[in-house]
Amino acid sequence: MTLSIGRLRPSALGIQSRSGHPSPGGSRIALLLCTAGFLIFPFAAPEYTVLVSVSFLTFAILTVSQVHVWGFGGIFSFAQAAFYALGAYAYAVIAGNLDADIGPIVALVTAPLVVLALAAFLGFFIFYGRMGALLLGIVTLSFSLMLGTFLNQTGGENYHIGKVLLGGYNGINNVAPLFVGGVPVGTTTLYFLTAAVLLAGVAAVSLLRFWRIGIGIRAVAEHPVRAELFGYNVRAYRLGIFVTGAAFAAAGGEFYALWGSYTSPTLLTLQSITLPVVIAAIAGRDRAISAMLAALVYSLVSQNLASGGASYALIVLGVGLVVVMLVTPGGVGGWVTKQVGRLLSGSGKDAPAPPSKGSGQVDRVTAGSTAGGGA
Amino acid sequence: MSAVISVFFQASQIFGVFLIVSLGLSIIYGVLGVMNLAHGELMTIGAYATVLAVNAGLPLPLGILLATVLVALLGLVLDLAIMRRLYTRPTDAIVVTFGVSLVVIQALLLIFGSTQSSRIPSPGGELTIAGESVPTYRLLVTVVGIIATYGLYLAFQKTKLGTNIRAVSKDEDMAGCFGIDTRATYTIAFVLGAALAGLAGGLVAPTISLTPSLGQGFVVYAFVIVVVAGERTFQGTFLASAAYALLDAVVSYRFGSFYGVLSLLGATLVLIRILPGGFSAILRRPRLAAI
Repeated sequence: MTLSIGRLRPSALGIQSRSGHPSPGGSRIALLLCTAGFLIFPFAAPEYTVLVSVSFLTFAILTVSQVHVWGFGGIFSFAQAAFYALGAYAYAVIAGNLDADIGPIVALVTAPLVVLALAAFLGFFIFYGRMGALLLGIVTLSFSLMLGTFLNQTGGENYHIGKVLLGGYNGINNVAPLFVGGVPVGTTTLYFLTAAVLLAGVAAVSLLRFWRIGIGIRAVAEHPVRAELFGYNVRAYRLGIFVTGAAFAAAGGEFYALWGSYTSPTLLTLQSITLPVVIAAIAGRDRAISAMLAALVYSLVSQNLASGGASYALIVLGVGLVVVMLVTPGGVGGWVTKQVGRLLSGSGKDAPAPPSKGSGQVDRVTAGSTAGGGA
Repeated sequence: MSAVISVFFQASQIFGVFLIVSLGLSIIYGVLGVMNLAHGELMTIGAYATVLAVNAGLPLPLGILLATVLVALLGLVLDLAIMRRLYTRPTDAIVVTFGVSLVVIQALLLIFGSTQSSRIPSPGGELTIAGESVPTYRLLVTVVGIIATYGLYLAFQKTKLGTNIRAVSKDEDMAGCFGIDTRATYTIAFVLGAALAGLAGGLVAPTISLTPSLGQGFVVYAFVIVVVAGERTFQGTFLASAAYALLDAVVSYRFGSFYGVLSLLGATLVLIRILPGGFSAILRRPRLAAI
């Protein structure tokens, strides 16, 4: 007997476009507001809070890389957490094998390139094997889980790369800290570096869609067969998206390793692997700015829940995910856009200020106002 | 010679569990088009239920049966309350099943702690076959796995319900036009998948120590097996489970379990490149297609 797997249409997987796309103007305004927020934050908050927020930023980088690959590129991939972890490991290994003064800088630059090469290898098999959308999801999920299992088993003296022990489930400790011109990088500098990488990525992902090459990427994501008939090299486009997403996630992983000066296979549990996909889905998968804000809000909430009543945090989170997805199909981003659009069209030219709950809704507000509600 | 036999039995042990877990996942995925990230947790609940039942004085087979029924009921509740709203939204289903998995793991952790010390004995002692001693129970697991798979295969082929499920998975609209209650069919498929997860959990309960995340260890392999199995739920899963169990056993025996995992990853990458249709594609050749 046969059970059909190819029954699902691409749209059902969120590969096709959704209405209410962010607009270039709205995205730029939202980006400027976010940049201002990131610039002010370290001066308004105590140093410890800034330090904690660096790990939030690295998670936001991971989530935005997910939006790049999935929402924008149409590749339903669970490999982003793997590339994030590989970035952390690659940084630790490269920096640990070189001199302390020059090693970290070299590692910071080369680790994403190493991950990019690995992603190209994996992506070659996936895209040039013309794998279907849902199958691709499962393959990348297995890849990430197996990488985690693999790293868990690298305990003991036998498993080392150069001078650095891989450390099994303990991971690599004492990751070499970053030096710039012989001076160790402090909390605030690390924060600004991470925020700069995050914002550069968000800007690239949210503005790329309006550029010439971005139109090609959207065509390939929305209808691969049609795009191919128009002469686009679909496989090369998708490989390109996949490897750039991998390199960006790896950059996040580097900063994670720098932030905690350790890295471990706990980055690759089933929860960690699915989390960026989940957050991207909640934010509305093709919205880079929403995804960044959702990742930050998620980090903040889970942090507070964990410090409140540790054991119930995940239960609250799990129930929250279920309820949110049942109430707002297609993600909170789209839902808020729709609600705000309805509000705007109802109240005429009297454009209300962004909701006071924080900058979380800003890009949705602007997107909603210019896209006419994005029904 | 003894090495060959020992590897063979090692493989057959893993094979039985791989088969049942992957089959449950594959039915839900094949019929509903939903990737059930909570499948491992359903299996974990099955294992916990079995241990509790045996510790309460029930015989093991009855405990496993109870666990299977319990997890099937849980699947029914899950489907009626949540999953049936998500059949047409596979990506949202991923988020939701992820949420369910979080809740289950954490709830088990709160109720039972991170490890369960009260292990139940695996019955049956050991058999000696060609000079190698083999745990009887693990052979039994393999036999149960094969029987369950074959029984379900027959049910899918010969009964009206099985035909309905296949029809709905092929073309929902057309099946509906022929008077099949598609919603009920989806629910039955989901409950069936959940029951298989419960059965797998019950079967492995005597052989491993209980942790809230024990199911995930198996589901990792099950996901890969579903991928390389291809579109034929039964034959593909059977072949893929057998091939992966054998590969894992051979490589682990020769080089250690570390390389066993690595070999499965490598095999998956190569397989999807040279055989995009998975193991099912092998069966497409006319003579074998009759199987």
